[in-house]
Amino acid sequence: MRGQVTFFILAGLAIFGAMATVTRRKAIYAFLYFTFTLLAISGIFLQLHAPLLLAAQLIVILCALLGIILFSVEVAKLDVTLAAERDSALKSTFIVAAISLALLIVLALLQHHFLLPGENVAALMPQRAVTWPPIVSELIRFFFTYDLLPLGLMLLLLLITAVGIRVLYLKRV
Amino acid sequence: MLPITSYLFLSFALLFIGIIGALTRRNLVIKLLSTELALVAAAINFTAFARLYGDASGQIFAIVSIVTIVLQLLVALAIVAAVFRHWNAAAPGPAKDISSQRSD
Repeated sequence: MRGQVTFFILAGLAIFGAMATVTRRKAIYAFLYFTFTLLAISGIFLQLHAPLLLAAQLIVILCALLGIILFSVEVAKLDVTLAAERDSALKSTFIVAAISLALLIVLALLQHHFLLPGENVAALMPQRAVTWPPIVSELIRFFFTYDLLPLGLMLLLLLITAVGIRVLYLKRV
Repeated sequence: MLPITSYLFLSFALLFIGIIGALTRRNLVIKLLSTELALVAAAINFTAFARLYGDASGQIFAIVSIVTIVLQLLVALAIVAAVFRHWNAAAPGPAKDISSQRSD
């Protein structure tokens, strides 16, 4: 009963946020409502016992907030001083993201051997073995051998995209 | 777990809103966000069916879908920002005229 009420509240919030996203006139407000929708949907993911998806969704929300900041700075056409400050902030963000990514990958690779012997974050993953179809099951077995590897790969893709955006941003049209 | 129809209704509603937004709005950013809503609806479906059948494959596909959302959001935002800086508008109309407006 409590699960049903939670689901309907979260679903209502998600649909409200989606409708507000589509109907806002300004893109910034649409972004904010989109973030709100993602937050409600991450609650639904948690209800579906998918905490890894919840983590992924939170990363999406962070990216959406980053998009809000970048887009609002771009729209506001701030002066060169503020742009230089933003550049240094962007560089430090890249450094922090790269270090956390490297730590995450090292943790994922070492957790079965050194860091957490016999007790790792496998509780976050689906427990039932996948038997069909064989190719997908092999893929899943590979990914879930190291529990944090999917998240690490996702962060790696995110970092590559961020570098690409940086190059796009510096390239004058 | 709730009946699967609840999740299907939710994802259908999100997909419908996303398609309506992508087709009716002129602002590029809102078109982009509407497309993301449709992808999120797909992720909800994948996760719900993964939970229903106790199969991890759906969650893998949902993760791929979410990664697609992130990458598409960031790259498209960079393109929109470049379009905005060049034509001073976030609507797709001015960007159609690329051949007639060459930058120096």
